Amino acid sequence: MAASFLPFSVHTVRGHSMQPTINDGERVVVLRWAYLFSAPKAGDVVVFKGSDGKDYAKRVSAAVKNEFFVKGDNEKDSRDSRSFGAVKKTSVVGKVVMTY
Amino acid sequence: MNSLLYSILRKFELIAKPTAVYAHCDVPCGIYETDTVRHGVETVKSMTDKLAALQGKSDISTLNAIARMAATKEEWAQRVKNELLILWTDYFRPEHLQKWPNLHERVWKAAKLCSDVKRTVDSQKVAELSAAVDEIAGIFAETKK
Repeated sequence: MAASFLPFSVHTVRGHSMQPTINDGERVVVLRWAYLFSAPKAGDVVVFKGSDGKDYAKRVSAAVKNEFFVKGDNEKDSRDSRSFGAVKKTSVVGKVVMTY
Repeated sequence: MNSLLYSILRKFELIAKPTAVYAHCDVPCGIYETDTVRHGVETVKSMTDKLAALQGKSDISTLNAIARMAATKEEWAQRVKNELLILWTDYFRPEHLQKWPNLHERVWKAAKLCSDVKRTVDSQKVAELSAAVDEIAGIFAETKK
């Protein structure tokens, strides 16, 4: 399991909706302390806890108060990405700062 | 990527095994937005105005600019169409049709206007698209109340 007390964590991305930014199977480094003193802004790629308990990687498309709308970068998957609900700041795990 | 950093991250993975984050979309919640279509129409309007202003010019720089603007207009008009169709097929529900019986026709006409503004450099068509999108966005906003 990820060491959640650390300022960052590494994850393997599963799925294609963030292509071409992140490909299926690529690793990402998530800065978990990125939003301690600020809020996610449009354009950030974030990892957040979905309502089903899984972690998801998406790009913030718009921010309203403490809620954020997220989308996948893959235009072909845009229909499905719109099925995400607004994400609360408290559900955000951190910001994707690197892929490898 | 810097090979040293890559090596460090690989070693870090031995301590903290990477967990999966999902980039596919199977969370059924149902939040949609109309900002993208409005932004798209504004882009199409801007490109149309700029293209119209270049009428009659034929130097190579202008031709290059025309090609780029036309491509941008094409791209964003298609995005608007895609977004409208997403709202139509995925967001609007039977109860919305009961309240706005001509919703199908409105979306259909707006989608056709997207094709029209791609095909032409016609500010009147863009204005019609803008009005059509505003109507649909207005209905969308009403459904959220």
